[in-house]
Amino acid sequence: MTRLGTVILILLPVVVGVLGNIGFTQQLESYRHTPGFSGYSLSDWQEILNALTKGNLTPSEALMAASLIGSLANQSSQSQPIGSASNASLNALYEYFTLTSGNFSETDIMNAISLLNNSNIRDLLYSMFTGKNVSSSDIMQALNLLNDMWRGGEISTTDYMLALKLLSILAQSQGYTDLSGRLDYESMKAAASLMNNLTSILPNLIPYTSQNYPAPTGVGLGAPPQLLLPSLKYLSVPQGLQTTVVTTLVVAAAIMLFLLAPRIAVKARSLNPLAYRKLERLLAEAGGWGEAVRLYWRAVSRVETSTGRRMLPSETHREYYNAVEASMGSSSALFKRLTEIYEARRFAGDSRRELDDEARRLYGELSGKL
Amino acid sequence: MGVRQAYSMLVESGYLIEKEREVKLILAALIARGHVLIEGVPGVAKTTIAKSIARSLSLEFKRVQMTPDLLPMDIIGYKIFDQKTGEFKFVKGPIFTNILLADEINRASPRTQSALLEAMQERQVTVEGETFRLDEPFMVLATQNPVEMEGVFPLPEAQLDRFLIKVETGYPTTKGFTAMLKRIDEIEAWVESIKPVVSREDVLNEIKNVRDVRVDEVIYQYIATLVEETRRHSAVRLGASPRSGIAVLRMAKAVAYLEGRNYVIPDDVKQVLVPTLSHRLILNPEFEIEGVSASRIIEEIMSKVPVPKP
Repeated sequence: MTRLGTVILILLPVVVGVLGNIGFTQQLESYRHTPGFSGYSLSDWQEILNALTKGNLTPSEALMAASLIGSLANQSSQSQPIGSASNASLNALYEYFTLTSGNFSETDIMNAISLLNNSNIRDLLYSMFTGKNVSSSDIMQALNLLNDMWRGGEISTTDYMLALKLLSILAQSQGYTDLSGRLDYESMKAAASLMNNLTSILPNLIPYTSQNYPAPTGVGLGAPPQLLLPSLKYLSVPQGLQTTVVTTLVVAAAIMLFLLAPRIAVKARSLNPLAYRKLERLLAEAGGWGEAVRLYWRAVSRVETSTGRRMLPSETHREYYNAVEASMGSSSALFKRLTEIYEARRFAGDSRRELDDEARRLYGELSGKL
Repeated sequence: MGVRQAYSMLVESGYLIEKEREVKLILAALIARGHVLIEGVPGVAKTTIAKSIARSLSLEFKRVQMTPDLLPMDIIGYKIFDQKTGEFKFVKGPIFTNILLADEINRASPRTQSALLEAMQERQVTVEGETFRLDEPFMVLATQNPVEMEGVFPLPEAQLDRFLIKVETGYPTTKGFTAMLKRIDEIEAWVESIKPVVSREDVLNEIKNVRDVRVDEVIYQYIATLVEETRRHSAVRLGASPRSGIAVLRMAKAVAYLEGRNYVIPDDVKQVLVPTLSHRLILNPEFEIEGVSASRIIEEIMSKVPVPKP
């Protein structure tokens, strides 16, 4: 079998297993986090969160966020796998992203106001939106009130985030652009905090155990990869990175194995010549070359131990004799004759029984001297 | 008496100082029905070896000094008009012999080289539609200088393949060189005085005997593995062909016979591998520039491939 064939045979089950697991995990994660919206995934969530943390969420990102949060809110309201507080947070986020996208109507503003839990803030903002001639000092006054309540723990993050966004829209409508931008920035920070909280419970939003998630496809291995690597399906690293890392490792391992396999084989054989010798003796017996050949290999083992010079796999019987002759002293003549008998039996096809008798005698004498 | 005796006589005389290996390989090639390319720098006894071997055998020996202006007809022969008979008569060239020493073969033009090498392969020559069989045994001993660059026509790979072995002969050791200097007059006289110890019939019989040398199954596998390994080596652009493997087998059998055995052992294969394959491998240029030689590659392969065991 060729070296390439051996490497392929070794690596095939590994590659198939890993690919099967990756395929299954990706499909599962995709299903869990983007029900009905295959275009969105964990990476989208992460992207939105990053943009919010930096305070520079664009209208298009806000629109995508609204769609993603809206679908999650819709899904969770049907199966109710999470608490009402989390549901309220999802609804608030949906309204927030709708308003941030710029694609909103008067109804959306009224809905956002109605989602505020704190009645004082709700009434204040309602009056500001329905009243006339709101000045910058009115907005600043409302902002100070919101900050005081937020720091005092009187209002939730949801209320704070939505109220800031509503004040920002109000400031924009009155021409206070700078103030609107500042309010927007603060609201994004609050929204990021809210999304961060939701991230920790994200796997529970759509519990996969209660769903008819699709059967793993991968490359057709099914359950075995999960059994081998059960933790892989809980990995929350981005799918692209996961696939890249695993594929790189497999390819690197394949290249290393391809290049090193012959050297490892040769080293292993030369490091353990006794095992190799044992194998040769077994082969000698299996080959039916008789006792002379078997005794020769026994004698080689004894000479190796006695002289400390091992027979290399690429060494012939004559080469080995020449190498150990000097260090064997008077017993070298016995080993020389044994080598000749081995050669005659093994390569000349000499099957005379006398050779076995002579080999037995020589081996006995050699054993006594070594 | 036979080729074995000629070998013993040449080696035991002690005059071919440190050339025992070369003599053995050339005689083995003779009984393996092959041709030999002897390569070495000027003054390393290439011609002396060839002459000594030829003289020790009771075979017809001719020598051609190759030059760029040598024509194919100068080697093969030509037809001339005989005025007495009124017919064309074929005049045989020096190729009609048993041992032809083609000295400095790479100095001959490619056309002349081709004519010679065709005769080596076919063991016959055709002149104006008439075919003439060459005498058996027939062996070409060609010599060449590997470092000569001016006025030479290097043999192409396909023509090198016609030679069963390439024997690389080098400088003697200091000890051998000193011994040679002391006995140089004796050596020259000895070469001229060598008497044939082997008849043509003996050589022909021994060629037949070599074919009957026993080869164990594992030896065939060993040869195949060694030859195939040359194709897998990273430094080799063109590895050994199946014909090369056949050459290794024939040479291993001949060496075993010359050493008095009627069976081949792995040592025989190892002994003939470098001379049989070294001129048939083409190395990658980057390795050639670094000074890697085909002989070194073959030795490396021999040190890696396990010998048949048990």
